[in-house]
Amino acid sequence: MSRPGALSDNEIQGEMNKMVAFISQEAREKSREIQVKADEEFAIEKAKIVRQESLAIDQQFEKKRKQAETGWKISQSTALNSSRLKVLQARNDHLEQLFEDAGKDVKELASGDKYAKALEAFILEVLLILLSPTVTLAHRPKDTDLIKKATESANSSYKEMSGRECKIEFDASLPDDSAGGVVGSTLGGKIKVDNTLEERLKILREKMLPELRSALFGKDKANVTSPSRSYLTPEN
Amino acid sequence: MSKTATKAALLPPPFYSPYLDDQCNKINSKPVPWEGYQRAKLVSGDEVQLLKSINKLPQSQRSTTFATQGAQYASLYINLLRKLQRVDTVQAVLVAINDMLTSDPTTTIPLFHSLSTVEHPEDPYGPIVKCLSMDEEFAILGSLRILGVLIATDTNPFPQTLISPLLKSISTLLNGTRQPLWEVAAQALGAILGRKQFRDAVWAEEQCISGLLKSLKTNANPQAQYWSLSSLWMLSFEKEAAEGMDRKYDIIALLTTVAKASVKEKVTRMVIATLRNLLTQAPTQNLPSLFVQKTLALVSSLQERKWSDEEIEDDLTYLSTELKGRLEGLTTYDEYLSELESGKLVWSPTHESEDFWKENGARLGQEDSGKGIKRLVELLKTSKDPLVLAVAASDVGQYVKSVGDKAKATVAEQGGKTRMIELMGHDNADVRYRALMSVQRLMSLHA
Repeated sequence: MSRPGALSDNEIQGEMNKMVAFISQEAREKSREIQVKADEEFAIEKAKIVRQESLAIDQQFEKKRKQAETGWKISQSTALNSSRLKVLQARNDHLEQLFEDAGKDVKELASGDKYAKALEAFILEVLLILLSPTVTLAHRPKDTDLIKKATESANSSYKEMSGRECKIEFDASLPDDSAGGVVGSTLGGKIKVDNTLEERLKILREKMLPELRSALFGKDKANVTSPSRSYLTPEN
Repeated sequence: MSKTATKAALLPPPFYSPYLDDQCNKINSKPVPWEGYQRAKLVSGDEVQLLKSINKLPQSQRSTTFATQGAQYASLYINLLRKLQRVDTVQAVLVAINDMLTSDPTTTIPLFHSLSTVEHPEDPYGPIVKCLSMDEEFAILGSLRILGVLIATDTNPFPQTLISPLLKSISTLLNGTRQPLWEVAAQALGAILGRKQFRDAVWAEEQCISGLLKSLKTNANPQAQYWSLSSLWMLSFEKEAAEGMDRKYDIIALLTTVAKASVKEKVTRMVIATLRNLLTQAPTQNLPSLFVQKTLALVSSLQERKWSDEEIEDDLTYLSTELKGRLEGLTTYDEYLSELESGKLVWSPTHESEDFWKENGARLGQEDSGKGIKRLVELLKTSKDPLVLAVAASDVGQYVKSVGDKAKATVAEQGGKTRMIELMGHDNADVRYRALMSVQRLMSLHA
């Protein structure tokens, strides 16, 4: 049943195969194009997102860094403050200790050889301060003899210096365990001048504190702000 | 990467070469004496065993073996390529690999991708690229085809050192005279250009590109055109390529010619897609040429035809809108400067526009220490293109007209006046005319 020019079944099959192959080729080419384009868009999108996210991360990191920095600053400041306080405390303790020891040492003075001369000077001071015709001197019982002797010389010096005379009475009323010295009073005890060794030490303490500080801890304006504290170096 | 994502990337690009298929069949019909080679200690007993068991099965039944022992075979083939030198063995292995890859791409391709080890970090590509240096046609062609398939679908980076030998091999074939070899090379190039990693390398490989262009100019066969165009299209996605392609290779002119003569939709589709990329990625560099080639007119005429493809219509609309919009921009001073820069002067509206010269004439001589006018005179002196000369001559005239006497001095200083007089004797009539007009302005006592 073959007309001239007609194709055999095989040939028809062959032609169809060719056409199928052709269509398939075209389709695959187009799908490749689509894929390439899709890959491009993906790459662009990805780059954009990466950029956005890394910016966000940078910002977050910056924020955290600032927070950490602030936190560090705070704790540094706190540490500094507490150490300053400690230093101040230590100094104070040291001074307290100093005065305590001084107080003890003072008690020895009374048994020293300068005590008699000192008493004389104390009494003179009292008289000059009170400038009263009658003065009562309170003293330790064990100093009675020393006091009598000292009073004599003090009183004559007083008369020389001030041109006045003073009648002195004695009162062994200071406790024996006090460090020594005298307390002068007049007008029936209404005016008192305390010239005991303890009192003198107290006055010394108040007046000399700045110099003491400077001598002990170095010149820094007594203000604990400078980090370069030189009191630890022995130059002073 | 998830399994599904990898699967999507696994679409191997189409490959069509009856020539190559023919050769494969011939090789398959000549069995290789593997036992003999085993005795000569070229292959091991196990290897021969694997080879024989696969060869026993007809093609249609091999996929089950590959499903279970695929990894072994992949490794086997690459190892054989690594150590064998004899032409017949290399051919046989290449054919075997190709058969394996075509029989079941989804499963077998990844098996090759994962062959890289610490000992052989360049696997599977190293041994295959080695075959490219063999002095035998099939070794080269067969390897190129396999490389195309594997590279296009691989997500791992390709070993950098192997890129150069691969591209050299491709470019040799692209510049050769034998068409079937050209076709294999062109398709292989198209396959690898899908990967960004290769685009930069190919752009640098000028021989590759010129090979493609030569074919576009001389071979009217639509399929060959399509293959050249796809590679160019993929290159045009890269900014650097888009910026330089026209300047280096005058590609817009070529593309327009191809599009005008094309009868097959897919060829036109590729041209338009490439033009679109050029415009998007590097507008400043490409606008002058797009203008002179009257691309807008081409686009409009193409839009009147009926296309079965959505994308080409999309691209045509884009081109049409963009170009029209840019035409407005083309009268601004900056566009003018970039035109000067590119050295491709054309009769765009700017050059004839009175307003433009009134506004910007002075700037040419003043801005950037007179860079503009310097460039113009330079073009006048150095360009060989009559169109450029004509436009430049006219522009100089316009400049002098707008600025006045001072301009005459500037131009004369730079040797522009002398050159202009020279140009009055130029071969091209338009050049002569323009030069004459401008000389008048340069000489006249009144502005």
